[in-house]
Amino acid sequence: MVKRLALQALAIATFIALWWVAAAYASSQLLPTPGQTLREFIHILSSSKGWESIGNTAFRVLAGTLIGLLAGTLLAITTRYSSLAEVAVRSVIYPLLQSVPSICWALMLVIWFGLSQTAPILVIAVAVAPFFIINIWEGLKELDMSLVEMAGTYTRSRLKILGKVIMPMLYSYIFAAVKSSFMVAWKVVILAEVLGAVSGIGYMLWISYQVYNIDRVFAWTMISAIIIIAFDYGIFNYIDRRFMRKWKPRELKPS
Amino acid sequence: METTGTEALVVKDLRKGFGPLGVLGGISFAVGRGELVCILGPSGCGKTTLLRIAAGLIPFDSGTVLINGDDIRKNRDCLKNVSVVFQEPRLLPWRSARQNVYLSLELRKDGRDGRDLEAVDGALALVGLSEFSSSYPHELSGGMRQRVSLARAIVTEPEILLMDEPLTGLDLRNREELQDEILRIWSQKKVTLVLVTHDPAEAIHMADRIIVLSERPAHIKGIINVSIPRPRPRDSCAVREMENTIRGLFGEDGEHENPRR
Repeated sequence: MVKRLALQALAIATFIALWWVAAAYASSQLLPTPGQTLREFIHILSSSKGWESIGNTAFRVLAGTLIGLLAGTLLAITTRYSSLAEVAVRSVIYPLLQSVPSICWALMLVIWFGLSQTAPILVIAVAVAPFFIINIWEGLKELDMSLVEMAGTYTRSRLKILGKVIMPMLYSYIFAAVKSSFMVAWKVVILAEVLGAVSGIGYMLWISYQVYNIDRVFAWTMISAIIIIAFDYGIFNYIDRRFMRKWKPRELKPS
Repeated sequence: METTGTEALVVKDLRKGFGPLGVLGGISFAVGRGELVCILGPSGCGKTTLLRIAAGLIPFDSGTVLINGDDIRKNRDCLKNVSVVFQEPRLLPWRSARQNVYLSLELRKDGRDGRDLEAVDGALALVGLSEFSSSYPHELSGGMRQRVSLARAIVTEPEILLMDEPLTGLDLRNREELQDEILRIWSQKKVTLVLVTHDPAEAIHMADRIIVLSERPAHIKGIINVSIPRPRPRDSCAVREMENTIRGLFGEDGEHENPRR
């Protein structure tokens, strides 16, 4: 464990050293040094405008992921109960969501909704919905039908069976989708903000680029990366250990 | 068959096939209220199919199934009086024993009732698992898990309890212990109990009557009244004699499996 941490620290230090060397040879117009980036980084984090932008973007990521989660989950589950929905989702909606590049969705949504909160949020929702659809399909395929049958001997209400038996079996699949969609959401939102927002990290990046403040572009890039890493390693791992264990299928003790 | 309308379960000329494969070839019998009937037959003879049909889980080709005089095809509400115990416990792994027992009440009832949890604890006590009510299925042994599923089935106060080889996965000691426990619950709750088994000794130990099924497509080879007074000894002349009678129904070719020997 200690050895691992030391190696990780060494890897990061090497990266920074290489960056330093490269920056020393390149023009500061092309590549700022780690020191310059750090200075700008601290500058951003000590301004209320900086935190406001991070907050704006985080809100969009959250709202967009939530909408994508609800829409994707609903779409995937209806395919279990209606053959019409099955055809619609499998042969139209899912391929469409999956194959149209995010940048195209972003352009279209900005055209439809203008420079507003709506466009970036919907771009995220559209980008992450397929993760939920595909993960829940996987979950439904692995569904323990013997439990569903057992529940069916106590009620005829499909809704009750869905809520009490089927959905809990899907939680770990939904969580896996949240995890993988989060990174995509974060990348997509910045793109969408560059195109169609007047606040947020993407917008700040765009402004920094417009005035050719390369230090600031780098600092914002670093902030984005740190947020994604923090979520993936810290928060999701914690949720996984603390809450998700219970919902995972488990080997039973032999009788 | 004569039926007086007071029988808990009546099966009349029941036929069922899966594709070209005949599984049930015209089965008729009746189970009286409070009676304990074992359905005995070799593996794969269709006895589980028979039970699943009676539980309303799968459709059938022709014939009639009546529960308390109601045709299950016409009035599915009569199945509310029926609980099923499966061969595997089928517990929800994310719920504790107590929550697993509570599930059947949650599913069957429309609203919450303050006394529901009392009923759950009562059912767990009845199967001797009060101390394990907060344990999760993976923490329980096979026998305990099957007890939880038994508690889940009886907490809804069913009139009819259908059991599909509930003890098959267990070792002999657990099996005999649970046989007696099921008997105790049956006489205490005064439920009608239909138990499917492939073990003649189990059927003789438990049943008022044994319905012996043939190989597939199943028909009834014989119905045996077991008049040995309870508690029944596990090994006595009367028991051995009855085992021989049953073996006689299958012929002496030893085709029938008997895990007790």
